[in-house]
This record gives sequence, structure tokens and C-alpha cells, in this order.
Amino acid sequence: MEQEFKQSIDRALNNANLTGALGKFSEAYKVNRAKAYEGIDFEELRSTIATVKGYAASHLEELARQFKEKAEAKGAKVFCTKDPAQVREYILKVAKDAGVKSIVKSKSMATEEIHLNSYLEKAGIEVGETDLGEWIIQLAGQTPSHMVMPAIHMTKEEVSDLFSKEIDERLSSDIPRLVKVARNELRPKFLKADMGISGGNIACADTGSIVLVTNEGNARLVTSLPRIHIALVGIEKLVAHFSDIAPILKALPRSATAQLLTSYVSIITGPTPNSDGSMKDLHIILMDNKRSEMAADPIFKEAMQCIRCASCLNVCPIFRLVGGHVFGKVYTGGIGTILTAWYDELKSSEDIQGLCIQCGACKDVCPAKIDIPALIMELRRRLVQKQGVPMLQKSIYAVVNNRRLFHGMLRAASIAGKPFSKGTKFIRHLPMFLADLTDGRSLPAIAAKPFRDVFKTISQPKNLKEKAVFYGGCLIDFAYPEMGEALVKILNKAGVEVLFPEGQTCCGAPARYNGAYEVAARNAEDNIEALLAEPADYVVSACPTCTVALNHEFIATFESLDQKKYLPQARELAAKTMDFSTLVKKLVDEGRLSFKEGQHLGKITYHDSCHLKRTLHAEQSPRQLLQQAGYELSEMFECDICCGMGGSYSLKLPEISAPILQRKLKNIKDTGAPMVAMDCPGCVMQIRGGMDQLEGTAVRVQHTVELIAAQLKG
Amino acid sequence: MIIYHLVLQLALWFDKGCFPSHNRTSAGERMEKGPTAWLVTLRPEEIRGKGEAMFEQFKTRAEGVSAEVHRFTTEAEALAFLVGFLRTEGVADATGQYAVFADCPFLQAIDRQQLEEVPGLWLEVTRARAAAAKVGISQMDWALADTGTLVQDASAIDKRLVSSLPIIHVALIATSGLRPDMPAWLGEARPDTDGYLAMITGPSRTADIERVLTIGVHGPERLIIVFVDQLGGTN
Ligand code: SF4
Ligand code: SF4
Repeated sequence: MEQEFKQSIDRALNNANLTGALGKFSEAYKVNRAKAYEGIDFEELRSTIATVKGYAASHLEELARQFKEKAEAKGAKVFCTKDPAQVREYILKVAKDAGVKSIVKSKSMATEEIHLNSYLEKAGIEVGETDLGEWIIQLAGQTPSHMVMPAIHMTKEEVSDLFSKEIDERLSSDIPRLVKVARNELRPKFLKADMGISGGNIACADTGSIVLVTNEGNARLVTSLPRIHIALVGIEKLVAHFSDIAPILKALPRSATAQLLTSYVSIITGPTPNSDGSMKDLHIILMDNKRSEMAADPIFKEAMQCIRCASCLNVCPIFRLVGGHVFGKVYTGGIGTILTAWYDELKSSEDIQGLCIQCGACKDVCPAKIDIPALIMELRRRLVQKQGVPMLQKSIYAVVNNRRLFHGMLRAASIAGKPFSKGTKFIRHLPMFLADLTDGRSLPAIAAKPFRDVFKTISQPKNLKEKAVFYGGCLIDFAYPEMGEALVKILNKAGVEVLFPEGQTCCGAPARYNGAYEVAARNAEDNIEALLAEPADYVVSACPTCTVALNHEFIATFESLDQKKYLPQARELAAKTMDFSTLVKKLVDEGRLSFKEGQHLGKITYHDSCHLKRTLHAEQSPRQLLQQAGYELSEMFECDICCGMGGSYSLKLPEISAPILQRKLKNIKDTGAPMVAMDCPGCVMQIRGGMDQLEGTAVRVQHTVELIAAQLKG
Repeated sequence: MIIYHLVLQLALWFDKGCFPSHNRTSAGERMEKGPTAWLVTLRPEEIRGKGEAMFEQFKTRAEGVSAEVHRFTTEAEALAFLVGFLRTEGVADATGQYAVFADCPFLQAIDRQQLEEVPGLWLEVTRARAAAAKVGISQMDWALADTGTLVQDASAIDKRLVSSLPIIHVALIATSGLRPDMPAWLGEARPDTDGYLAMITGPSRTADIERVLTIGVHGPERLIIVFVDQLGGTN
């Protein structure tokens, strides 16, 4: 990562106003959004939107042609172009030909994308933003930090300073007063402007209509008062039918600002009369700027479905720490990263894509049903393909891909780690640049005996009727073998024999999440060979990241590399693989396992691991098991927000990982429960390590597997 | 994963200082028709049957976004309210205190005498008068119950001037214009003839400074909705 980029992260993290504002907003947003969607079938709604927009993305040319025809029949002038330079030239020409001196604009990200303002200003035309947030950042000479709330990073004091300078009068930081000032200052600009420039939220091909969605009322003035109106619309805004407006307008305000509908929606179809009796000179520019290339890409086509609601930003644990000036360019957050890579160029997303921790929170709320983290992973893959893997990582992969060497080194680490662990199960401090890793979090010491050795010493009952292959994963194998032992104990009780094939190796997630798909594919092959070598009823893992690798990502990796050889086996493995809690819940439900009776084990809180909840959708099984065992479940605030581990993320960006962890620790402690359970050894490592360095009484951090093992009968 | 931590630790122990300290590097056809199944249109008798419930829902939703909702049976009652309202608001023949009334069926139906007695009220809307008005009055065509939204064919510019420039917008609406929701309305919408369809849900608002909701930015800061049960001539 560029040094400069790292510095911008540090600045953002140290900007208390920014992190405070974004943090508070994201908390309120979650509640308000849920309220706005009450009584609505969100899944159905977003499937409809995905269908409508997906259809449009695969019929762009046809819809653009139809739109042009319809809108022109109504008297609008429609200009279609692939090239942002032509957009700028077109607008300037219209302005020059009509002797335009001043322009008012309502919010349009497309104009920001092509840097229109500075271009027109250089030509001597006055350009005024009128959306309050946009006006603020225009005065401040900044760029928007959020797609819906461009000035969310600024305090009222900063705004009052800006306004005071603008109107040459000392203003207080009273917000309603500041809003009045904006109204009074901008009103004359509206009245004198010769041209209004707007964006467009939806463009309906069958009627030639554009739809504008706003709250402040500025778009109504921009499209009504000046004699010329130019709407700059990205072709991703096209939909086939006028009636497609309904689902989009149902979701957009709810997702964007938790409103049932914005104050104003304007549907413009052709020119209407101006106040002097003349007809409006209406121009609609349909801009491509690489959108059709994106639509032609089998994977990124999905991003064309975006309705720019920014809810993916609002729920993102990273965005709320660093904001859009760090996480994004013109377009911000997770989707902004993807759009930047296309509208700008792949390389522009190089730094920002690394900010995504792959927690999947955004994908859950996206009203356009876009798998944002998957698309970011694909960016990573393409970046690596283009530019290769950085040196240091390469040397790590060389090790990871050689199982014997890798495991040998891990064993060596258990001895070498002794000076740091001082006889405890933790490494609390590391020297030099590694110190960041133990800043606010201890690391687990490497187990003296890895699970693969422990396993050989376990004697399992004979003649068990079913078999399960246990996939340990690196953490359980080398740091937490006791979790593996607990799993064997449980399954044996249910009459399941556990097999532990020695040939299993790293699940490939670290390589995959860093875009090194070739490495991940080789890991996948080794594991497929090992795990399918012996017939078994299940393949089980107690690490959700590994489970996801086994039952989704091996296939996805082969598919994106177009490697077909192992695909059938990968599918066979996927079909058999289950996460620990789901399997055990099934065994309990079948009456093959039962809990000790009458246990009152006290309060417990549960942390949702990202992959378990959002990819495997298995968040209920562990909760039910723990309650059946006798625990009283007390949910924590934001139980499903990432703990900041994210695999190697906490290594690459410890400065971001640390505050996310601190938040999680606080939420856990606030429940007052003496124990927190989770299903992922990675989360255990992160959260237990954090608790270890916390002042006061620590909450016990346990994997569900151990808690369940202790409470079963027999 | 932990591998990284471990391998890095090892790298350090085995080969102290060999790695540069900027080590945290990272590299890093759907269905073939555009579906319209969500368009549900109610028959007129169904709408009547649901009228009261729709009004109640509309009122709750509109008040939820800071609009003020009134309802009268006759045009005369609505007119009396209107005249009283303009007086209370201090409408007068002075810049900043005008009222502007965009032409509409309501205006055709009532006895204009009472309006003409209000000083500062203009029935001929110009841009300058609207910009200097405190109150703008217009008649809307539909009301969507589930969001508290008013909808209007606002192709005539005066309708937009009176609803966007003044500080207060009074919106008259026939109770029969109530529809359950947007999909129900979309079936009746005529974008081919109505060049500017305007939806209004509550007064103008922003949360652009510190996310604090503030009412009244570029549009009106008050929206007064007046339902009239016996108001013909629209739709
Ligand atoms: S996956 Fe998580 S970290 Fe990545 S963009 Fe989405 S919410 Fe943000
Ligand atoms: S990607 Fe989804 S959540 Fe993000 S802005 Fe687009 S539609 Fe909204």
C-alpha cells in the first residue's frame, strides 16, 4: 500500500469528528432503515430491482435507442456518448451558443465523475452547486465523502466558518440558521441562472422520462427556473418500463435515508413551458464512460444494478471509521471501489480495494442484490493477475503451498515463540514492526502439540455407524487443538467416527482474499485429494472461513480460473461439507445427542462470525444449541458486526482492525455476561487476544464447540 | 489467517531485519422480459370502500413527515379555511408577504369574491410574485396513502412556482384522488401528455449538516394539505 494512502488512513482515524459522525450515523441508520422497511418483503423487492436493472444492463443499446427516440419525439434533445470529454464539450457548446453566464446544479455524481465544474469554470461560466451538502464542499474546495451525504465529514462549526466567509458576516453554528443562510444565498442564484444541470436517478426507455429524487427542493428549481435544462444521466440509470419506477422508488429512499419517500420526486418527459412562455430547452445526455464494458463483463455486470442508495457505505465497519475520502474516490465505499475501478481504471482501485475486510454486511442490505464483497475479490484477483503478488506475500505463499515446509515451520514456531509467550498461552508483545500486531491484542502462542499429533492419541469407540472427515484448518490445528478434541468428543457421542486426513492443508482463504487465486486453487486441489480420499458421510469444520472455502470457494476459484479438472470433486466436497453447529444441531434434533438436564449456566452473549452468518446463514444453530445446553442468551449491540480479524486483514491494516475490535469488546462487556461464544477460531483469536489486554475483569471467550462438549450427556 | 502472523514471525526470527518494514502490502441472462407484475390497480368501487382507511393512513404518514393535514366536506368550507389561513399568516400586499394561487378546478368552482378581498393574493402567477410570496396555493391531482405523498401534473410552470418558491405551500386535493400507493397510481399516470409529474411528500428538508434534520431548505418549510370531499373537476 502506498505510504501516502496509509497516512490518509491515519489522518481519518485520528479525526474524531469524522469517526464520531459516521459512527453515530451508522448506528442510527440501522434502526431507522429497519423501521422504514417494516411490512415490506425486502428479499422480494430486491429481487425485483435486480431483475429490472439486470434486464436493462443486458439491453443497454436497445434501451438507449428507445429512450432517445421517445424523448426526442417529446421535444428533448438526446445526446449519447461513450466519452466524458464529449459530454463536457457538448455542455459547454450549448452554454456558449445560448450565451449562458451562470449555471445552477442539483446533485449529480456523473458530473463529478467527469469533473464538469472545473471545466465550465475555466471557460468563464459560473457554476453553483445547490444541494446543501454539495454547496458546502464546493465552498470548502473538497470532494464529497459520501454518495448521499457529501458533507457528512464536516462539523457545523466548519460549515459556519465557510458560510461566514462567503457572506462576510460572523455566523453562529446554529444549524437551522445555517440552512436559512444557504436558502437566502442560493435563491438569487437560482433566479438568475440561465442553465440548470441535473443528474437523473432513473431513465425510462418506453416513455423517455427521467426521474429525479431529492429532499431539499433544489432539483425542482434547477429544472424549472432556468430556460435551459441539461440532465446528465449514466446509462446504468436506464430501465425498460415506466412502471419500473415503483420498485426503485420503494427501495431507494428507504435504503438511502430511511424515508418512505423523499420530499420530492420529479418525472420529466420532454420540455415544458418556462415562466416567460417560451419552451424549455431540454437536453438529456446519456453517458456511457465504460459502463457498457462493465455490463459486458460477466461478473461485473451485476454492479450495473446499483441504484446509488449508499446503504453499503452506511453499514460498512470500515467506512464508518475512515470515511469516503479514504475509502473511495468520486464514488465511495464498497461499491465506490468497484465503480472507480471501471469508470476510472483498475489501477485506481488498487489501494482502496484493500480496505474491504470482506465481512459481507453491505451485501445483506443492498437493495439491488449486488454481491459487493465478491466483486471486490474479483478486483483483487484481476489486480494480482495484472501486477503480480508483492514480494513478501510471494514468499509466504511459497511456504503455504508446500505443506511439509509450512507445517514444519509452524511446529518450529511453537518452540521459537516461547520467548514471547512467557509460559502463557499468549504472545503479548512482539519486537519492531511486528509490534502493531500485538497492539491492543495478544496473539495465541503456538500449541506445543498440534491437533494432527493429538488426534493420533485419541481413542475413538469402535464400530460407530457414521463417518465424518474433520477439516481442522490452521488455527485449530496449530493454536487451538482443544477445539478439535471437543469436536471429536461430541461426534463420537452421536455415533460418528472422526477421520483426520493428514494431507489436509491451508484452505486457501488467505491467498484468495488477497487475489492470489492460483495459490488458492493449488490449496484446493490438495485438500480435495485429502478430504475425499476416504468415504465419509460428512465433512465438518469448526471454522466458518474454512467451511465457506470448502463449500463455496473451491468451486468459485476453479471457475474464475476456468480450471475444470477438479470441479466435479469440488462439488462433491461442497455437498458434504457442514459447519460444526449446523451438524451438531441436526444430530441433537435427530435425538442422537442430548444435553444434561436442568443446567443453569448463566448469561452468555454470542458474536456472529461474518462467514457463518452471511455466507452460511447458520447464525441460529449455535444460539439454539447454547440455550438448549442451559445458557441464558443475552444479545449484544451490533452482534453481527465484524470483530476486525478478517484473516490477514488485521495484519495488513492493524490500525483499522484495532478500533473495530475495541468496539466489539465494549459491546460484549456491556451485556454483563461473563462469557461470549462464537463459532470461528479466528474470531476467538482476535477477541480473546483483545480481552487479554483489557483492564478489569475479562469476559471468557469460547468457541461454541467447547461449551457444547461440556454439556452433553453420556 | 494466523499463517501470516506465524510465517511473518518466523521470517523475522530466521532472518532478522531482512524484510522491509513497509510489509503490510496488499495486492490485491436474466429473464428476457421486463416484468410489470407489481402494478396492481384497484377498481373505482374498491377505492371508495377503502377511502376512509386510505385517508387515515395518508394523514398519519403525511403528519409523520411534518405536513399539516385538514379535511373539509365542501368547497365553501375549504375556501373559508383558506381565507382565514391567509389572514392568520399575515398575507399582505408587500414583498415577501404575497400569496400566489395557481389556476386550478377549485378556483373555477368557488365564489372568487372572498379571495379577491384578501390583499396581496394573486391569481395571476408570475415568477417574480412567486419569488416574493409567503404562501403558494395549488391543487394536486392524486394522494398516495402509504407514503403520504401528493402527486400533480405540474407541466404548467405556475404550479411549480407556487409550490417551490414560497415559504408555505397550501395543497388542495379532492378526497377522491386518494390511491393506496405508487403502483396503483402508475397505472393512471400519463407521462406522454403530462411532461412534468411532481410528487411532494412533506416540506423541503435536509440533513446535510451533521445529519440533523432541518425543515425548509430550497422549497417550502410548511406544507398544508387540504382535502375536500366534494371537489370535482380533476382527474
Ligand atoms: S464486505 Fe464489509 S468491509 Fe467490505 S465493503 Fe462490504 S461492508 Fe465494507
Ligand atoms: S451497491 Fe447496493 S447498497 Fe451500495 S449504493 Fe448500490 S444499490 Fe445501494
